[in-house]
Amino acid sequence: MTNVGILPGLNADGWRTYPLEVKCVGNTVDGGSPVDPIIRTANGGASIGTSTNFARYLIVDHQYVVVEVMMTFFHQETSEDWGAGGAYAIKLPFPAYRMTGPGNPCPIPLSNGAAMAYWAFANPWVTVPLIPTLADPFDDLRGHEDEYFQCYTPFWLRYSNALGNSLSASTVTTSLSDLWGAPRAEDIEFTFIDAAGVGSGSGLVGVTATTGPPSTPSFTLQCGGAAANADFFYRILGKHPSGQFSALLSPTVPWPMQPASDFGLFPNIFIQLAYEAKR
Amino acid sequence: MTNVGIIPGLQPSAGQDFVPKLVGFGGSPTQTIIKDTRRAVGRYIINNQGLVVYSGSITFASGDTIGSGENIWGISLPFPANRSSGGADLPIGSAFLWQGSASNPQLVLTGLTSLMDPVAIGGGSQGAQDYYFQTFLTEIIAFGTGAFTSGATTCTIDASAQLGTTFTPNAYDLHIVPTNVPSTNAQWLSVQNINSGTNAGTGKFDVVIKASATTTPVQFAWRARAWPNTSATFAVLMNSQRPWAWANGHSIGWRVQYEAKR
Repeated sequence: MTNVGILPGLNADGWRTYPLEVKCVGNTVDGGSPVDPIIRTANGGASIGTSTNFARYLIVDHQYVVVEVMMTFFHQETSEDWGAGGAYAIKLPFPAYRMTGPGNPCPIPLSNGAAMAYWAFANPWVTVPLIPTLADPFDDLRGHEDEYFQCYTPFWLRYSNALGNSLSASTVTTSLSDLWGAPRAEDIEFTFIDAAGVGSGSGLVGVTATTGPPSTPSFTLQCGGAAANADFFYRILGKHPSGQFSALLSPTVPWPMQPASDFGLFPNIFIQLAYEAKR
Repeated sequence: MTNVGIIPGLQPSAGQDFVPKLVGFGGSPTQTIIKDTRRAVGRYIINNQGLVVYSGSITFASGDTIGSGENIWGISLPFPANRSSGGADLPIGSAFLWQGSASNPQLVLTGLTSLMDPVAIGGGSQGAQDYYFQTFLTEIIAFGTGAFTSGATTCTIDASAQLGTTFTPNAYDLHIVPTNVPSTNAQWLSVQNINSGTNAGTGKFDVVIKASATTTPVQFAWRARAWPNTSATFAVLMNSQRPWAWANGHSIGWRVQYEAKR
């Protein structure tokens, strides 16, 4: 039978909240000018849902620290709120012991899988598992990397189910303007939803070009013959391009955090992790 | 050197057994019945500040009743949980969703667990949401094959047994691979009426080609690795038909940690 109420012998509540601080970080060589996001909390702003944003911790014993973080970007907020120009680095309540040595990357997960980013009540309604690690020693952290964690993402994603994706001649080019790299052809999936006006000999369809920065990231779909008003949906589960922060949770990875983007009203980043505090 | 045996200073085991229950909430649920509780196992340990570490698994087998008709599945916790904020969806651990070694294909998926939502419709949680966790899904999976009949340009696929009749995948969720060389060039292949139009509310979709063949019509395999969406209530959460239609031999494993209610 399930127990109800207070656990026998339980000590006083050890959970403590702490200020949720999130930075956008990169390296000088990346040439970015990171803009930190603004995380409104229940006492710090008027936006709805601000009570969702919080951070708390529990020290179990021997300086083993359990941390829970929730942050959400809401559609009422302005463009500066989700930040730009780097990966998200999220503050820990206490500096962490870095087992790979001071100043070294530490690609060791801090969680048993309890971290996720998801878009609620949208179409699609996507959940992506995150892999939190101690922050890399980014220039923008100025030697304070032990005080932050970052999150790896297994892929980035974009999609479109707008009827505007119409193959009206033999080619169509679709822009992905917020990407940091070019999509790879094998990562692009497309499905046609009609065959109106499609001429004979046009059955072969392929991705003929992908481009990336500094030009606008895009891909081109091309068929073998004339095609009039053949509509398609596409989605991309993209492999990360090279770069120290391209695989990390950021204002554009795994999706644009901009709440008014195609992904719907608001993205959530919810994390539970545990780590050893520095002694 | 690898240690062997008991850790010095370790006290007697604080781990306790717990029999988990799988319960359907929302909709009009028929509840799951696991005939043999040896296939529904759980164990927990509590630290002195109320952090509960709880793991377990449920495996379906012949003779069980696998639930249906619900919106979401919840799995019982050994102690009610304290919600850390107004939000219910803070992940508290991971789940291992597995079709078992006898399945072909043998699908494996990771789920992300959180305290259960206060489901209030149909067979709602009646305020018991603190006693259960739910599981977020990264995708919903179905697959099969299709074959056009002679002279046909439309082949209707019935995916209702795997996807249900309320969930509607997007076109980009559906992947079609032709598996033969037809006697006539089909020219163009599209997917239409996905649980809509003539297939509304049936869980079916049409595969349409431009030109039919009579001698050797087109054959194909199809797959849905669909992102959840708002076409079905709580589509992002595990239930009897998500991420796949659960069956005998399949199992759910989990490891979560959470703050117990005081």
